[in-house]
Amino acid sequence: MRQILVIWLLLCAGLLMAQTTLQVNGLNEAQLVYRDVPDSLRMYFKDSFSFNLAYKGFGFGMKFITELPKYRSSQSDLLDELEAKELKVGFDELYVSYENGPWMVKSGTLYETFGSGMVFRSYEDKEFDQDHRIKGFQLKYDDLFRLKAIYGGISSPNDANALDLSYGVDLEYPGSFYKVAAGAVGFRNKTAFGYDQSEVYFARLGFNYESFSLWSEAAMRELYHRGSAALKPVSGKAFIAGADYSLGPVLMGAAFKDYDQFQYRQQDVFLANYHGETLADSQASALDEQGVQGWIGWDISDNWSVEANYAEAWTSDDLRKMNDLFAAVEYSGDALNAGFEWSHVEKTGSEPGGVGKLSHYWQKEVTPALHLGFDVCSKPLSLKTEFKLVDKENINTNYETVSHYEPRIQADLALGKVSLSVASGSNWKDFGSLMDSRYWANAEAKIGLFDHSDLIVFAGSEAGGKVCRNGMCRFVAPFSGLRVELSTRF
Amino acid sequence: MKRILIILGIMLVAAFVWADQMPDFRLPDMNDKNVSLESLLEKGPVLIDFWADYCKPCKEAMPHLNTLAEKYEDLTVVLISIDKAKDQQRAKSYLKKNNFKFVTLFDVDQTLAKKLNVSIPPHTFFVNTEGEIVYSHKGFDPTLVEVYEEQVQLLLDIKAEDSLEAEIPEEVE
Repeated sequence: MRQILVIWLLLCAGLLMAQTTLQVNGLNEAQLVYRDVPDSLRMYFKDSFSFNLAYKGFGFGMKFITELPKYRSSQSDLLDELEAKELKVGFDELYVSYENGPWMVKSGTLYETFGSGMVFRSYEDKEFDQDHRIKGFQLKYDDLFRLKAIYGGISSPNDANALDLSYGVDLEYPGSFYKVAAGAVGFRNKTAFGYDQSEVYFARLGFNYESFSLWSEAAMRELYHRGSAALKPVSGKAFIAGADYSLGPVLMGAAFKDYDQFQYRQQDVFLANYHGETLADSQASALDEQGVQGWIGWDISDNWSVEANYAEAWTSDDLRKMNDLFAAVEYSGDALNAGFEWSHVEKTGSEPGGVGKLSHYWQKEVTPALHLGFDVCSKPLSLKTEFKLVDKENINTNYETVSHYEPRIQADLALGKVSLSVASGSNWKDFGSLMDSRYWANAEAKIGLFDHSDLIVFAGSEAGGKVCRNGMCRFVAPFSGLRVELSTRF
Repeated sequence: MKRILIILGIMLVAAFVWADQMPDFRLPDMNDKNVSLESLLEKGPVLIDFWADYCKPCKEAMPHLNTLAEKYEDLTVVLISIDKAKDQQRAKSYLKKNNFKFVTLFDVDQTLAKKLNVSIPPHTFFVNTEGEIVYSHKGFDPTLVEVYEEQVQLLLDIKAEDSLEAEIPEEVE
C-alpha cells in the first residue's frame, strides 16, 4: 500500500512539474457490434486506443487495436466471410520521434509522401482496407530547403517472413513563387523466384504567382534486377502536369497524365479525373495510360454557383478508354440550400479473352443527385437523393446490354446534441423485379455525451464506401446489424 | 500486474484532468510557405478546422467559419486540409474559388491530425493564446453556428451584448 502511495505521489509530482511542456492527446474508440451474418461469432467487441505524447521535442505515439474478429471490408457482398488469419490484436501503430529546430528523426510506423505520391507514398488506404505503411526510419529537415529521407520495410505479399524494402531521398527548394525538387527512391521486393530491385529518379516543379499556379512531376523507373532469368528488365516513365487560373469568380484548370510501366506497390498515382476512377477495372493504374482533365467553377452570384469537371483517359494502343464527368449547380440562400449534381463514368475497351482473342467490354454509370437543406420547426433538415443507373455489356449473352438501378435517399436532422440520420437504398433491375431486389435501410443517431465524448448507434444495413451523415464523413465497410460506438478524446 | 494497472489508471486519470494542449506544428500554406502554431498564436486565439475536399459537411461549415473570421478581427481561423497529396490541388482550387478569409494549411500525411487523433472530418478546435484547446467538436450541422460563436466570444473575452453592439452601425449625427 505504501509503495502504491509513493508511486501515486511521484507520478503526480512528475506530471505537475512537467505541466508546461508535456502534451498528451489520446482517443479511445470502443465498439459493440452485433453482426447479422451466418457464422458463430455474431456479437463481438472492438477497441482502438491511440495515444500521443510530446515532451521537449521528444514524441511517442501508439495505436493499440483489439479486433475480434476482423472482417474484410473490401468485399461488396454484405455477407462477409470470417477469415481466421485476419484476427487482430496488437499494436497497429508505434513510433518514437525527436524534433530540434528544423530537424526531425522518427522511427516506427511511417506515413510519408514524396510530391503527389506518384513516386513514393507510405500510407493506409481505409477505403479499400489496404495497409501500405512501411516501418523504419525517417529523417526530415525543413528550413531554407526541405529534405526527407526514409528507410523501411513492409511485409511482402509473396512471403510472410520476408520484407519488401523501400529507401529514398526527396530534396526540395521552395523559392518565393516557385519550388523545385528532385530525388530518388529504391525498392527491393521479394518475389516467388527471388527478388526484384528497382530504382526511381524524379523531379518536380511548382509555380505559383497571384491567380496562376502550375505544377508538374516527371519520373523514370528502372526495374533492373529480376527474381528469375526468364524475366526481362523493365524501364518505365511517368509525367503529370496541371495548371489553374482564377479570374475573379471564375476558376479554370487543366491537368495531364502519362504513365508507362510505372506501377508498383509503394505509390499512389494522380488519376486526373473527378471521381478518382481507374482507366479499366482489370488494369492496374500507371501501367499504361494517358489522359487529360479540364475543370471550371463559377460563382455566378452570392447565391448561385456552377461547376463542371471532365476527363478522358486511354492506353497507348487505344484499346481501352474511359471518360469521367461531374457537373453541379448549387444554390445557397438564407432559408434554403439546394444542389443538383450529375456524375457520369464510362469505360470501354478490349482485354484478353480466349486464346489469342480479345473480348470487348463497355460499362456506364450515370448518377444524378439532388440535395436540399432547410429548417423544419427551427431544426435543420438535410435531404439527399440519388439514382444511379449502371449499364453493362455482357459478353456471355452476345454483348447484350444489362442494366440495373441503385436509388438511394438519406435524411439528416440535427437536434442540438443529438443528430439523426436515416437512409435507404436498393439495387434493382427493373420495376418487375422490385420485390426480389436487394434493399438497404439504416438509421444512425449521434449523441454528444460530454465535451470529449460521442456515442453513435447504428442499426440496419449499408453497402459500404464513403458515407457522409450526421455532419461527418468517413469510410465504412459493408455492414448489416447493430453497432454501438463510443469515442472519447482526451 | 496489479501495480501496472494502478499506474495505468493514474495516467489515464491524469490525462483526463490535464490541460488539453494543441501540439506544436509547422505546416505549408497555399503558397507552400511554412506556418507554425507559435506564429498564429502571436495574433490571438485560433480556431482550427480539419477538412477534406470529399467532405460536404466541411464545405457547409466554411461560410459560417468565414463569417466568424470576418466578424472577429482578433480571431485567426485556420483550415487544415487532410486530403491526400494527389488531391491537394483540388482542395486548393476549391479554396481559391471561394476566396475565404482563412489561413489555409495542408497536412497531407496527417502528421498533426494523427497527433490530435483526427480521422473523421470536419473536426474543429478552439485554441486560446496559451495554446490550450478549450473546446472541440467532431462533425458539423447548422445548430453549431451559435455554439461556435459563443466559444469565440469566450476566447476573446467578449460579452454577447458587446458583440451585438458591434454589429449595429453607428447613427449618423
